Amino acid sequence: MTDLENMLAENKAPAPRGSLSDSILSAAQTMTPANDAPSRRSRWAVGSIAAMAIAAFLVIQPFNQAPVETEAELVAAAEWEDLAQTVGFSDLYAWVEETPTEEDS
Amino acid sequence: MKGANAKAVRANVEDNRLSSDPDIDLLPGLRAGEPAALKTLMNRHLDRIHGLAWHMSGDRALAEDVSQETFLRFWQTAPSWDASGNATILTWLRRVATRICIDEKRRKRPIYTDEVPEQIDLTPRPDLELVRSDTANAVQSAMMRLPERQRAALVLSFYQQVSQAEGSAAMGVSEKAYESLLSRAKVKLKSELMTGKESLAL
Repeated sequence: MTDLENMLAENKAPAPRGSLSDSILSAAQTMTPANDAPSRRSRWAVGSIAAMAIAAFLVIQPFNQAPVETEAELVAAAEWEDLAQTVGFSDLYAWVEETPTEEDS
Repeated sequence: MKGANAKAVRANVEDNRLSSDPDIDLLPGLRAGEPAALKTLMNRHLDRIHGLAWHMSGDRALAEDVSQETFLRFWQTAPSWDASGNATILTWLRRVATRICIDEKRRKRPIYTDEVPEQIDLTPRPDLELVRSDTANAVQSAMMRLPERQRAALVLSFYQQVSQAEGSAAMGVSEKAYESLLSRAKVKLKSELMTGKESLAL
């Protein structure tokens, strides 16, 4: 043996405490029984499906929402109507805004 | 004909590998969740895994935590354990214990802040050791100054007495990389020990 090996050999690890084995056994018994534990692969599969479902929900969600007018948009519309009446284009404005009837066509 | 021969050779290699794993007899019990099988596995290997963790960490409490986590991980892995895979159960235990020790060390690595970090004494705690010589303490302190992977290669090779093939499998590196780590570990350890040679009379 070389000097280095002799020195390494002197550095022996202490033995584990006698209670270590018992504490590992009791921890094992409180864990999910080994034969019932879901495999890591199946957990990944479930996780992947859940992630895809959440992503799909988030992508589709904006298309389902009806457009909501904000307060600023409502104020702007009211101002535009006032301006149209003041300028005298209220009839034209009403004509543009109203839906076409059978008489029009 | 060639295909049949190759199949026979593969089957033979697999049979040899299975028969070379002395713990394969415990697998049915571990898969069934029998504590007696886990106890037998610990009777066979707890000292080795604890020793590996102790040489990696120099800390008895941490070595016990690592041992516990390693065996509990195997307890949960046993149902899906691939007996035809490349690793024996002991190699797997060594690999997991080594990995946990390295990860534990990285978790404790200091983050640079204005605060003064707590000083960690790497020498083994005397209250937990029986009688350890100055040489033994100096060697363990020098080992703690090695980079983790070099220390792991040294511990596996010298204290666990594993072959180069098994050591590289336990560390998840090529045999060439393992050999290189081991060689650098020896050089650095010698150098570390030489710095304290006055007290050790090398």
